[in-house]
Amino acid sequence: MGTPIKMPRLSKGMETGTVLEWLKAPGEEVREGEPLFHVLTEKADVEVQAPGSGTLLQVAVPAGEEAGVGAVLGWVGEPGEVVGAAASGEVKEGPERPAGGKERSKAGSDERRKASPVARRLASEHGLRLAAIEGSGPQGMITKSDVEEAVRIREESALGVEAEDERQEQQDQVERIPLKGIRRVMAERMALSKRTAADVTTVVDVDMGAVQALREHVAVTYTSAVVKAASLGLRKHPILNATLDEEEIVLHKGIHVGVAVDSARGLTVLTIADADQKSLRQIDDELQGLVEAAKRGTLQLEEVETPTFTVTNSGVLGSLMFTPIINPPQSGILGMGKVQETPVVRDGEIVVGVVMYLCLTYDHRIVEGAEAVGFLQAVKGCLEDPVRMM
Amino acid sequence: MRTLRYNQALCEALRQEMDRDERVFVLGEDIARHGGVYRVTEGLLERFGPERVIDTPISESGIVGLAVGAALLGMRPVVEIQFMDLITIAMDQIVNSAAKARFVHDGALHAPLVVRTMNLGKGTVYSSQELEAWFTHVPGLKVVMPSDPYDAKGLLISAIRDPDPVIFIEHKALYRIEGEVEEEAYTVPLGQAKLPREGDDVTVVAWSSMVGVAEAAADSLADEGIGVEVIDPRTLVPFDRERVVASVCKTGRLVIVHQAVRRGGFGAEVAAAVTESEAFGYLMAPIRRVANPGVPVPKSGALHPPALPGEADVIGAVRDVMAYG
Repeated sequence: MGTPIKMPRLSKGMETGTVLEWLKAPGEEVREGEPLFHVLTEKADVEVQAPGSGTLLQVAVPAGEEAGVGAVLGWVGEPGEVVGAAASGEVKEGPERPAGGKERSKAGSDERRKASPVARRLASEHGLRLAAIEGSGPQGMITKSDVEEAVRIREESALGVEAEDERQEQQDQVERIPLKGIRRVMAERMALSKRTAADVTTVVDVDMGAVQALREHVAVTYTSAVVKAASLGLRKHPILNATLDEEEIVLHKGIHVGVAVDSARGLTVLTIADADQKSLRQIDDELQGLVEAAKRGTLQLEEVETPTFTVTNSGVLGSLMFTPIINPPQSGILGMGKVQETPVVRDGEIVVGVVMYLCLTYDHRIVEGAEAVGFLQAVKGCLEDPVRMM
Repeated sequence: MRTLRYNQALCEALRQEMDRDERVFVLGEDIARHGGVYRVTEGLLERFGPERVIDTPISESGIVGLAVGAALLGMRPVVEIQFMDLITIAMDQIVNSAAKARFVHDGALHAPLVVRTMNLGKGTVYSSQELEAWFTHVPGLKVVMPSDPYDAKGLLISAIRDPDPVIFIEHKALYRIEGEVEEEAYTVPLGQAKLPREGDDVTVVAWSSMVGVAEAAADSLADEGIGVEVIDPRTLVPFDRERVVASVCKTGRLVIVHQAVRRGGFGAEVAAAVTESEAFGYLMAPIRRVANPGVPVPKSGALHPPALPGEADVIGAVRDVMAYG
């Protein structure tokens, strides 16, 4: 029996992860400690190292599928070794799951779906996954007619796609990028947010002159300053540090600010835990370290808390203002616009000011407008008078 | 064609074979002077005399033992064991002597005997068991279970001419059934099923007295628009697997009906054979068995419905498998 490759617990409270990519194919040589696969957690895309040396014998959870912490994802061992359920009863019971964890991953795969033999055969002949077919038979069994219906629907939509293809080809040549991995996760989470949150965006302008002046003495980024200011604002307005859990509003005591960064692999959220209790300098150091680690793919997330609020900086790319999308189940996200010199009126005079728009999207299901604007004003106040953040 | 009752067809088969081949003789309890409890050997004593139509003492083991010895020496004995429950007394002769003869003598000797027996169906605790599965389990035995007069005659002639021991199981409920039977001697080959009803929705495999029950159910279900294909294998060993598999490939659903106890019954063998075949990939529903739930057949008629499978049970099972889309 080879060495099982298991889904690591990459952060506190992590219950499941999605295998984003296998860096080796079955049959390839693997050395212990060598990067073997990527896992996407709620927080980040993490590279995981091989648990042993040998040959990657089998991949049990293919890229794109989710698995519980501790679930066997594959095996490393000597070529020809028998692995998996055939080798021992160990994995037969399925992945270990944290208590209360949801049935996921292999549980939804084809071999455990209730289906009549003919339905199974037809689905296989048509390349359909049983997991995607609704069963109408006794006890939810997938019947022959269910599969035939699925085939019919697919053929109809394929006809639609063909027609679409023809139109496209007439217009232009297209490139099709499969929606998978981090792209798929992003698509699903963004859609979930828009589907569930009653999102409103409100904007204030912030005179960033004081922070700019501060930066001449202390090398901190604008983002770090906003993280710090936001954490103080959240202390005053805890409703923005809350999540909606079905029937209850959950106010989080820890203020953990996530920072959305664009990495080569896609959107990644880095987390500054207890940001309100850290100095601006500490936050800045920590953030720089995380950004570096994210670039190298060596993020260590074991001790990191789940973010309770998010800051995203679109200004670095040149955007003036935007309407960020809440990262569920959080109730707010603060977007930073570009910091730029702008004519401003000060004491009746038009002068050159340094201005940034702060765009707060909040979930109006639990956050009232006055709270949201109050929070923005608090953040604005800190940034315009940085002594408050010291 | 003229019609005969099932027992008359059997009697005619015996008479014609005894006319044809003087090695054929019959023996059993009350078969000569009395003509058999169900008149299957009526008139044979008068025609062939006491040397070929022998009344025996009540000793099943002795009757079959005599027949095995005679068969090994070249005779063609046809034994009657009055009720199938009593065949248990002769099991050693059947299983250890007759069935193994060809194998232990490396083909130099064989035991071409026929053991005719029957059950009463709605009878008593001691005369209503269907024990065909006991014999299908033993290598070297053939098991024949005709369901109508035509097959009764043709299969008995085949059994008598067969070079190996044949367990020939009749049924009281069938003796009075009338059907067309050719006057000339003819054979119905062993191992060839027939299809009394053709249909596209459900395959129902039934044998012996259950064929008629299955046919009646098929006719009722036809009114509901359900097409039932009834297959009568006629012989369980050899079994016409191909016929059943082809039918299940067509219908995708299988119900097996036998009077014998479900647990360990031959229906389980049929179900297993189908799932092991290419028909597996055509199955739309679980295979259902309609059989005795596992009780001795009671004497009381009031208790027969739960013990003996009937038309309503077959209809229920068919509707059940139809629910799987």
